[in-house]
Amino acid sequence: MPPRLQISSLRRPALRCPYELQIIRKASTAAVTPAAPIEQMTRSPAPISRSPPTQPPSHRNPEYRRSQLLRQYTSILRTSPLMVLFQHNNLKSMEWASIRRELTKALEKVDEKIAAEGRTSPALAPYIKVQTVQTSIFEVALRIVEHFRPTEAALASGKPPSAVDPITQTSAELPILSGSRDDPALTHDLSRAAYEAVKHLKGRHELADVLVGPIAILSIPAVSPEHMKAALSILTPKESGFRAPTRKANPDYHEPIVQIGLQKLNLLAARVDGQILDLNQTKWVGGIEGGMDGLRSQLVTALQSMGSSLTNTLEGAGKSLYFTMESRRSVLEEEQKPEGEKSESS
Amino acid sequence: MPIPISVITTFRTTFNPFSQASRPCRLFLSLLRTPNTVPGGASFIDIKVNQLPRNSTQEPTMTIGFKGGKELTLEVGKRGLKIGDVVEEVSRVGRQLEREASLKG
Repeated sequence: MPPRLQISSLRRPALRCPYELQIIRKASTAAVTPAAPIEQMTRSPAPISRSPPTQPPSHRNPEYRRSQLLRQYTSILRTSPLMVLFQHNNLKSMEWASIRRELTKALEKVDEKIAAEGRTSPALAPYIKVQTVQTSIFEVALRIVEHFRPTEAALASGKPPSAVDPITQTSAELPILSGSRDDPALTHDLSRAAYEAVKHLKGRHELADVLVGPIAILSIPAVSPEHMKAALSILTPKESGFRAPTRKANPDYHEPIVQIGLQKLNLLAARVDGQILDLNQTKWVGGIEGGMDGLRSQLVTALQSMGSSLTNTLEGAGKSLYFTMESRRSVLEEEQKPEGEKSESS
Repeated sequence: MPIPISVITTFRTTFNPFSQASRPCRLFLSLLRTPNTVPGGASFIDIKVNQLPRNSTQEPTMTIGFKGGKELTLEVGKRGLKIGDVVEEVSRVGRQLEREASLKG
């Protein structure tokens, strides 16, 4: 009976690498330790932190959906200075999809128009989104973004430690609490510091009363009244007073699925650069012609006219004094003249 | 407690979204605006919403019109109603109407 295990198959790997033994022998004879890098000689390695710098321990459990939603909302609030809040009532998914389609179309048109006018503002249409939010989490995110200001010291201590003294390896000692999720040095949005800082402000934000029921937000990553106007003319043409596209210009917009969906959307408020605006103020912001550039040009003309009027005012006093003196002089001269003439004649 | 959507025909509400008293108005609105109550739906409800400016101190109110011409006006802000109370009042009227209809045959 032949052996089950082929001996040749065992030998084959050894044959495949005939230089292996030689290499090992060479390495053993001339073993040179490579020089340590300069970095390692001048600085000692940092003390070992228990958590990776991208994943600091957090007070709110990062595995929960609500924690990740909170992070998402704080990020949206920090990156979008212009935000519009809507109430959405039982919209179907197909209605949402068709409304979003129309919104993207309208915003792309605005981008094209801005590009055609030769202005240098970046295209915003791909970044403007409508999304529904969890109101209670969104309210916490608002409070954290607006009221949680970690100090410089706290920010510095939250960073991964770096060693300073080259002699001792772990010269910068980690605080005892570090590695625990309640470390006061941690200052990210899910940290205990953020939680403690905004806890007492619960329900006291200006938008707290608005954030009730089903809420959707439209987030625009720049203060661009033109984009806001286009979005409002699509989403809430009746309430905002901006004209919706006509049936001829955009027949898709007048499909029943879009129109029925839009009837269930209500414009509630807006948030511009941290300021909360109501319906009328939102209309006013949307009505700014020519976007931010238009507003700037209006400001420039206002300032110029104010400057000229100011110089006129300042000149006025001097001028009036001059005129008074002149008239007085002419009066005096006239008074003197007849007297002189009289004296000469008499 | 279910809302008698089939006997409601109109809904008018006035509120300031920045006041806490407007909560029941907005929540009731979200209960009424369902796929059935849109134009062309099974039971259409004519809804008109009037939003007040932010600094207005007018109390929120709502008026619900039922089939047969009956109207129910709720001073939500003055009476300090909550959404449960509103639903209760509306469904009471709805039950009365349904009972009358069943007695008539």
